[in-house]
Amino acid sequence: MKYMKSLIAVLVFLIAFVSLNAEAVNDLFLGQKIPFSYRAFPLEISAEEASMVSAGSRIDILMTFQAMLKRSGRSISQKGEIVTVTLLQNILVLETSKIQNKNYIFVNITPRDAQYLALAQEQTLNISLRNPKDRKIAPMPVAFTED
Amino acid sequence: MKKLFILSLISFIPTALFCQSVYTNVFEAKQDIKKGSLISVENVMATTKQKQVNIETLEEFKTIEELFTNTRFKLFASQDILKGDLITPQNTAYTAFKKPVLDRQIKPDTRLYALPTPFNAEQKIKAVDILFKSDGQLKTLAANVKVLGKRRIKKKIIVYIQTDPLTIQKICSYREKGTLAVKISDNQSDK
Repeated sequence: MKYMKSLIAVLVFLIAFVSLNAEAVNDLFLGQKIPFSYRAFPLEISAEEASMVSAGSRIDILMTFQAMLKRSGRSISQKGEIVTVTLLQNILVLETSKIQNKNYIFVNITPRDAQYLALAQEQTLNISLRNPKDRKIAPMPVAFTED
Repeated sequence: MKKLFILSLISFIPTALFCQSVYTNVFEAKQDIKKGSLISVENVMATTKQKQVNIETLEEFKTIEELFTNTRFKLFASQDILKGDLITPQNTAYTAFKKPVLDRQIKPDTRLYALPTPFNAEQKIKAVDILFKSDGQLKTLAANVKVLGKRRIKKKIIVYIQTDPLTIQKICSYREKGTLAVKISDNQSDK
């Protein structure tokens, strides 16, 4: 009881501090939004994909490429098959931008994932949107086109 | 006891001021903007004048800042704005930008994918079948896929389909391989 008033004051201060900072996050410049040890990586996306994402969205990044696959009972085709893999899951979109009629998103990834994504940019990349509360990361099988 | 209480309150006030002034951006016109013109990064810039602005005004600017970071809105000049003028709610107006907010509707373990279609804007679409054209034949890749929304982009109607991640991977593979055909499901029930 003796310290009740000061305890309440400290609590009020803490709640106000946290709520002010939470509101302020949306107003940050891109550089200020990046958490420590992460990077903002620009990714060019199509107009239709851009129409469904905004800052704060959670996405999966898919890569489509040609690969020589050896599947049971089948020989390796000379041409290769078109396959799609889920490269990165549950990635936060930090910002969206349109530069010279091209749509870009800035994704929040680790430096290691940034290296993979830089390599993957030579292939076709697509994105799919997920519910922001659905943070589950699961191993995904490769999807290929059947002849 | 009283001292401690007052000290806590005093320490709160500068912290609140600091948070507001550091994180809120203020914009000024970097060129003359005519009434009705779109406000964009092309014609405005962040300004260092924010220190002169009081808390009350910053609250107003917060809405403006949202318009730049949140593309659900477009901002227009409601009057002629001269180079160097601050962008304020008094000299601007904003309209709702038709960007659908769909992510909260997506069910767990499913994803949303944007797919161009030959449909027209008036058609009601609850579910679609996705087919692949090969040697004149159609192969069904996914049937009765739930549509969460649609939008016209560059004269095409885009539907936002909700399905499992593997089906989306499959659709990506076939889109790369050739042409996809999308038709409205006969059974328009929710999947």
